Amino acid sequence: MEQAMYKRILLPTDGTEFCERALRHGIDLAKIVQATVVGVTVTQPVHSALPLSLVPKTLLGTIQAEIVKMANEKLSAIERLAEAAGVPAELLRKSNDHPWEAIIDAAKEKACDLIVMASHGRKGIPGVLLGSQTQKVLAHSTIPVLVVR
Amino acid sequence: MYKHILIATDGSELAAKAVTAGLQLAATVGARVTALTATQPYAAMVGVDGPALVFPMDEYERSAAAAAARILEQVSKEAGDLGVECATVHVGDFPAEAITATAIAKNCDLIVMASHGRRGIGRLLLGSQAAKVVTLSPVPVLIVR
Repeated sequence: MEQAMYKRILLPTDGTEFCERALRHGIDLAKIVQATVVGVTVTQPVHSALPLSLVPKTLLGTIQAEIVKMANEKLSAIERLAEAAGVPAELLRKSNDHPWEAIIDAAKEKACDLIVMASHGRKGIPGVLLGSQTQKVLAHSTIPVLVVR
Repeated sequence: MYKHILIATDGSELAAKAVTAGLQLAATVGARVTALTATQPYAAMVGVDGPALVFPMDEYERSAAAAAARILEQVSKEAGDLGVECATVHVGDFPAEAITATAIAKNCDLIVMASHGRRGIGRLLLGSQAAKVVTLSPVPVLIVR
């Protein structure tokens, strides 16, 4: 049955186990509805108690390079999962203090029609029923959100 | 992927969007559907003093059942058009609790519902029942806008 179903599915990840389950779920769904997945991971800008101009440039560069490297590792994990499932993938790294905001922006920027995300991320504190970033994405998204536990 | 999708509706316009999205997804993945609508318990709607005298319980139950039947009939019809196998349930309980409990009892592997229901978008960014279901549900929840 040919439907105007989901075509571009946004998969945010912070690299945790929770997110991996959501990633697999999103990729399985993408395979069935023949959608492209857009993997996004959000890094936080470097903040310092010292004015950034006083932080040695080489140190700042090292920190930033490390952040980018870690983000790229998370993204390539998505790429590998998608490739194994035969699902086309696009990848995106964003920098924002508020991951939810970057996730909403990424969905717009990449013209996604569905967001699949985990109920909790890296701050998955037992006892908190729904992660804070997921709550905010649910509140601010204008496209459907599939929450995976 | 999904074998049994629970679609929740309160008959509102936004819920109708969720019904369509859920049924289309079911058709695409080849899942069957249970459509659910909940009406609040009599005690929660009427209270125990004044109104109960003029709005007897059996009359409330009857009109709640009739309203639910109308809502569910619409879903069944739409499911039929899409060739999706669809069962319907009417639960006399608070919506979020009814949705979560039914999803568990019927072994559903996905819940589809609207971000807001009949009380509309108002000032809440996420409707109260949707927020509760996302929090309570052990199965994935698709929130449709």
